[in-house]
This record gives sequence, structure tokens and C-alpha cells, in this order.
Amino acid sequence: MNDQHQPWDRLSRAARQIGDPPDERAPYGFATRVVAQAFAARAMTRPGALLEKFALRGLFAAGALSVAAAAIGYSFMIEERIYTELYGDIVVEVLAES
Amino acid sequence: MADETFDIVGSLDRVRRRDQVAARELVEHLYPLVIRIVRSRLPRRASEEDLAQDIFLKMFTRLEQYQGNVPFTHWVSRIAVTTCIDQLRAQKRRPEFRWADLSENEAEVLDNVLSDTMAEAPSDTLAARELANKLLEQLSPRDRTVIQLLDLEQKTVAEIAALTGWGQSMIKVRAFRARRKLQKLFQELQKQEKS
Repeated sequence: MNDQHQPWDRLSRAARQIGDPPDERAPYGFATRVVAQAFAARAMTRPGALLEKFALRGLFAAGALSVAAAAIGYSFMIEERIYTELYGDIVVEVLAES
Repeated sequence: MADETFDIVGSLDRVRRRDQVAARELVEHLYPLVIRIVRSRLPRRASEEDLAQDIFLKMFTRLEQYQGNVPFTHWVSRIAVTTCIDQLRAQKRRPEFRWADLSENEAEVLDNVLSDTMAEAPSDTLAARELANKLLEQLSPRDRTVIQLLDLEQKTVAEIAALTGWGQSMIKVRAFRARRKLQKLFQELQKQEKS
């Protein structure tokens, strides 16, 4: 069997003599790039990740709406109070007279 | 060279808890292993870094599937070998291997191995590696992987089984078939040289 494969045996023996392997350390920034991509992909494929993402956005939107509603409501309350202070007595007087 | 004292189990625990520093350390630790597999199976090296990146991304994606039944380095090696084989399948194989395609040094080396006058000078070594790679390109990706590991990296059948996840009988059959194909290639080249 060896006779049959001699040219390949001789060639592979010669090919194995090749010198030191080239630099095998990861290139600068390679690990950072790979990990950033992997973690970004994992974050999106994790069960519930999409829901979590939209839920968080919804929470922010709801918070913003609450603040806006409170601000608008407060301004109405102030207006109402001023109106009452200015005209409240007149109304009572008019009602009392009638 | 990979750090033998690296705590893979501890590192994996941290990576599963989404520790990016641990993940970067794991990539740096495994890079020599992965790049050696990539380089030995991808003669056209233009995209070796891209291929290594694909392998690491697959590793992170499948990390939850790793049960610890085999050493983690073997598990990663299998991902690397499979990814390289897929890449080789995607590459177009040369339709025919001809004496005229060889460089002067490669033709000389081929002449020497056919006539058993191999001197094994350093220049011949480089040409021998190039010639061996060209011949291996003519094999199917799996046969090529087996021969590469057996004859160029001198791994045992058991080691190849561990690295690839293939059965030992299958590896032996592939090796036999691949060597027979290589023998045919040598015969065809010899005919071309004479004609």
C-alpha cells in the first residue's frame, strides 16, 4: 500500500518541513469587534428582547405623556383658581341678588 | 501559543452572564486554535480573518447548546472545521489540474517526488506546501480535511475524530479514498510531463 502512495508521502513529508507558523495572535481590535457583533446579535435573538425593547420605549412615551398631562392639568387648575379669585364673589353676589 | 492556565469554565460562566471582557479574553485565547484551522484549510487566504470572525460569531450564537460533553476547544474546532468545509464547498473547484499550471519550483518539486529525488531544501519546502495545497484542492472538502489533518498535521485518527466529530471508520475510508485520488492525480501529471 505504501508503494502505491509514495509520491504523496514524499510530498507531504517535504511540506511538513515548513518553518515557524506566522503570528497567531488575534489582530488588534479583532476580539472587540467580534464580541460587539455577537452580543448585539444575542440581544436581538434573546426571547422577549423585542418586547423588552418596545416595552421600554412605551414606558418612556407613557412617562412623557404623564408629565405633559400633569403640566396641562396644572395650568388649567391655576387658571381656574385665578378666575375664581377674580369672579367668584361676583357670581355669588349675582346669585344672591336674583 | 494558547495559555494552558486559562480557565475556560470560569470564562464561559462569565460570558453567559454577558461579560464582554470575558468574551474578549475567550476570543483571544481561542484565536490561535481557530486561525490554525482556517489557514490550513483555506489556501486562498484573502478572507481568513472574515472566516475566523464567522467561526467566533457561530460559537457565541450556539454557546447555550454547549453541554460540556467534549472539551470546549474540541467543540470550537468542530465549528471551525465545519465552517471551513462550507466555505470550501462554496468555492469553485478547478475543473482540471495540469502540469502547466505549476510554478517552476512546484514543477521541480513534483518532478523530484515522482522520481524520488527530493532534496528537501528550504525553497523546496515552500513549493512542496504550495503543491500539496493545489493537489488537496482537487479533493472534496471532507476528504481534504482528513488528509490535511492526517498527513500534513500528523494527527491520529482518534484526534481527528475528536476535532471533527466524525466516526473513526469514516475517517479511515475517506483517507483511503483521498489517497487513491491523489495517486491518480500523480499518474495523470506524470503522463502530462512525458507527453
